[in-house]
Formats: sequence, C-alpha cells, structure tokens
Amino acid sequence: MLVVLAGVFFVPNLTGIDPAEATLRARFSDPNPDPVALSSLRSEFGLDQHVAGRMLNFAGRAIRGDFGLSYVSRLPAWPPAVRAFGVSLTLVLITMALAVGLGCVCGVVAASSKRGFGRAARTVCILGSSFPPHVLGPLCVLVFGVWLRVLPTGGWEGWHSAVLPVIVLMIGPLATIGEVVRSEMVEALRASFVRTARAKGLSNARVLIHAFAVSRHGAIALSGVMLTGLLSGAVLVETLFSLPGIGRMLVDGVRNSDVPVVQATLTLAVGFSLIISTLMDIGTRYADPRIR
Amino acid sequence: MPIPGSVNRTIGARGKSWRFRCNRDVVVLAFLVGVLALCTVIPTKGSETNLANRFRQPSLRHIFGTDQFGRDVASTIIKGTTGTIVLSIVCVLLAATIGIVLGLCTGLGPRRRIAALSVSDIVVCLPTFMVALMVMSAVGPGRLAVVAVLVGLGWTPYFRLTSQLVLSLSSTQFAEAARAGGASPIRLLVRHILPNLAGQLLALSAARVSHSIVAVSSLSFLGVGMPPPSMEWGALLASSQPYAERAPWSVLAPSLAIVVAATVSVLLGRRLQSRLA
Repeated sequence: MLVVLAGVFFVPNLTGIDPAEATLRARFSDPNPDPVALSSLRSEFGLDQHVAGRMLNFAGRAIRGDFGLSYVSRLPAWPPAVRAFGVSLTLVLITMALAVGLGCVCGVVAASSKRGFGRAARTVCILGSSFPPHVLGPLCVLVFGVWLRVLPTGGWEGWHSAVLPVIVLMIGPLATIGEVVRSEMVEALRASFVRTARAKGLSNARVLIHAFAVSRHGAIALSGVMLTGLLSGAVLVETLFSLPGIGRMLVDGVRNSDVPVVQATLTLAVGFSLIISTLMDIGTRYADPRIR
Repeated sequence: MPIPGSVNRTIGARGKSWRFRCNRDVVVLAFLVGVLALCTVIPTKGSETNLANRFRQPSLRHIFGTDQFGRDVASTIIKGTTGTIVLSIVCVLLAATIGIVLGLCTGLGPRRRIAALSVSDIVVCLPTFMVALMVMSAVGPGRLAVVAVLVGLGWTPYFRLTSQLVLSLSSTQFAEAARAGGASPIRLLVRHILPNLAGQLLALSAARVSHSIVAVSSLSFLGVGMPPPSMEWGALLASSQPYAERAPWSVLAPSLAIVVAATVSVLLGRRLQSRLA
C-alpha cells in the first residue's frame, strides 16, 4: 500500500508540466499566464515547497483520506472520487455478475455440443475478446442510439442508461470466462466419473451439472483478476457513455493535469484492486480444497 | 522443420493438393506475414488531407469512403497497421522475453522464486489500464512510452506460465538425468527445460497479440497513446467518432480492422496451442 501511495505521488509529479501553469491555461485559455497569478496559485496549493516535504505531507494527509483541493474546481478531491467510485462499482458488479453467469452458460453449452448452440457459443467465446469497449461502444451508440433511438447513449439516470455500458463492458470478460469454462468442461467430460454418471442413466443436463462442479474453479479464480480488469475497462466505457464514474474522473484529471484528483482516484482504484485480489486468494482456497 | 502431427494426417490425403494441405499452417502464417509486410510498403497517397473530398460515401475509388479530413479511410487504416500491429507484436516479444527470463530464474532456488513471484503478484493486482493511463499522461504520448508501459505491465502471463512449467518440469526424469549428467542449473534450464516450454509460450504470445492490439488502440483512443500524426486505429476511431452519424463508414472501418486483427491473433493462438502444446 505504501508503495502504491509513493507511486501515486511521484508519477504525476514527473510530468514535467507545471500543474499551476496548466491549470491557469485551462481556466483562462490564455497561452502565457500572468506570473503573479502563477506564483499565488503555487503557494495556494503548496507547490512552492520542496518535493520531499510535499511527499511527507501528502502521505500524512492521504492516510486520513485528504488529498487536497482539486486544482480545477477547488473542492476537496476525495469525496467526489468516492461518489464516482460508487457509480463505477455498481456498473462493474452488475457487469461482473452477468459476465460470470452468461460466461459459464456459454462455456458449458460450447463444451456440450459440436453443432447448433454449441457452435454459436464457441463463436461468442472467440469473437468476444476481440471486441474491446472502445470498438463496441461507438458501434452500439451508432446502432441503438442514433439509428434505432431505443436506448440513451449517455448519462446515468434510470436502469436503461446502464444497458449499453453493461453490454459493452460485459462481452470481453464473458468470452474469457466462457473460454476457460469450456476448456475445463471438455477436460471434465472425458473423466471417468462422467462415464459413471452416464452409465447410471442420468440425463444429459444432470451430467453437465456434475462436470461443471469440477470445472467452476477456473471461473472463480479468474473472476478476481477480471474484477480489476473490469475497472480498467470501465475507464473506456465511462468516457464513452459519459457516466459519472471513477474512470471518467481519472481521464478528466489526466487531461487537466489535476494532480489531486488523479491521486485520489488512483489510490481508490488500486487499493480496491489489492483488497479484491487478497479476498480472491482466500476465496479460491475455500472453493478448491485441493489448494489447501 | 515440419510441424509435428501434420504430415501423418495429410500425406495420404486424396488428390494433388497434398503438398499444400500438409503445410496449411505455414501457408496461413506466410500469408499473414505477407499482408503485414505489404501494409508497411504499400503507397498510401490517399491518406493526405484533402478538404474538398470530405465525407465521400464508400465507392470503388474509396472502398471505405473518406473521413472528416477527406482522407481515404482505407489508406489511413493501411498506414495505421504499423502503428497498431507492428507495435503490438514488438510489445509482445519484449514482454515475453522479460517474462520468460524471470520465469526461468524461479528455477534457480526458492529465494529467487519467492522474490520474482511477489513482484509479479504486485503487477497482477494493479488495474493495468488505469496505471498505464497515468504513466502515459506523465511521460506524454510516444511510441517508446507505449511499448515501455505495455511491456512493464504485460510480462506477467509469460512469467506465470514459465514458472509454473519450470516447477513441474524440473521434477521430471529428463531433468533429473541432465542433473545427474553434471549440467549446471542454468544449462539445465536453458538447454533442457526451455525447449519444452517453447510451444506453449509461442501459443500464448500469439494469443496475447490481441490483448496488445486492444491496449495500444485503447490508449490512443483516449489520446494518450501514439502521438497525433500517426494513424493508429484507436486514434482514427476516436477522431471519427463525432462524425459517426454523418459518416458511419469512417467509424466502422477502424473498428473492423481492430476486431479482425484481434480475432486473427486469437485464432492463431488457439491453432498453435492445439498444434504445439
């Protein structure tokens, strides 16, 4: 966590762009800002102090959840970041649930038959990961928003504004999970316990459920990694659909070189990922007794 | 060297095309490389700005129409191939090298193994794209920066595969035989274990090219990847998106390019996986 904080502090400071200058430029759209205003802004945000002092100061405040004032809006950077994180988390969790569910179904179907649905499911698994959000997003906006006019293409009001972002974000993880489940299912269906189950006269569906019980660990282990991946994907989706999420905040912060906002959002995102991956490590141990 | 498994299956195949069939994979690979090489040398005059020629519909002259600057979309995409695919392949090769070397290091002793594993664990935990975004914004757009960031964040899959297989292979009989024959640990890893990993690593690399393509184009899409004059597909997509209603073809074409390239890479990876691994 300390490594993360240090990284979060230093990298934006390496930009070589003076944040004060960039801020003034953005605010007044004046290419050559007034030196007096520059120095007053620097002292306002404490930018005139030495780097090491600023680092210590930053670390001390960041632990208490205080990342300073945004250079652009002059409001504290942390509370809006937390609010935006809530939006992103909703989006990511809905997507995650759908992707895991549909991915497992896709994988099982793809493994169970060679024709018809099985072939369709396999195609989804292959093509899905080739449709990143920034490709699928504009296409979906074009088709559903512009040509058909059935779904809103931006904003965050009501459930129907979440439909397109979730679909766009879901396809990649769905394909990945489907592929993993499929390959494990193919393996499991060759095992002797499946033959026994068939010999006992169980229905096809029951046999598949038997085999799935063995092959779901891959999906569980993967979903932890995917959650952080989804957070990354959310950056693109939120920018595309102008959702008030953490990814968009990060992109805006980066574009305005608004260092406190970037620091606050990144700390949240990275901290969340670290917690999730720890939890997933514990979770896989429970899900798969063989690791213990 | 013939690809194992291909000759037995097809040598007795009917008709005169056996020679072709038995090397189908090689032909496909050669074709792909040829297309890539062609894309880098083909003259793309149409990719110059020509404001009199904006938003032309797709026709025989402009297969994918023209965009908001009057550039022929097909030419811009061909020109963007270097930016996207060649860069992605370079990223994958470098990342694979780092991952493999570090992965082999895990075979040198428990301490090195734990050190390398914990570094990779940290990298795996990071929300890759957000970190890439931050670093790119710090150092500014550029070809070298994109490669450095993607390699720095993308070497872990190779590392994981290598270290896993090193662990399982170093207890095999052939490894024991080599050890008994007096091979040093490094010689054992490089001469005996690495050749056994080559197939799987090749398959993984081919499949990872698609991830790399997606990453490169999405960084450019957000405006922090390749610098503006380059016609990287993600940047093309971003610049034509505001005109989607007027000129849908200028959005569809780069999307199609990204999807096709990524799919080819995924399929290639699967093929190699079933052939070599």
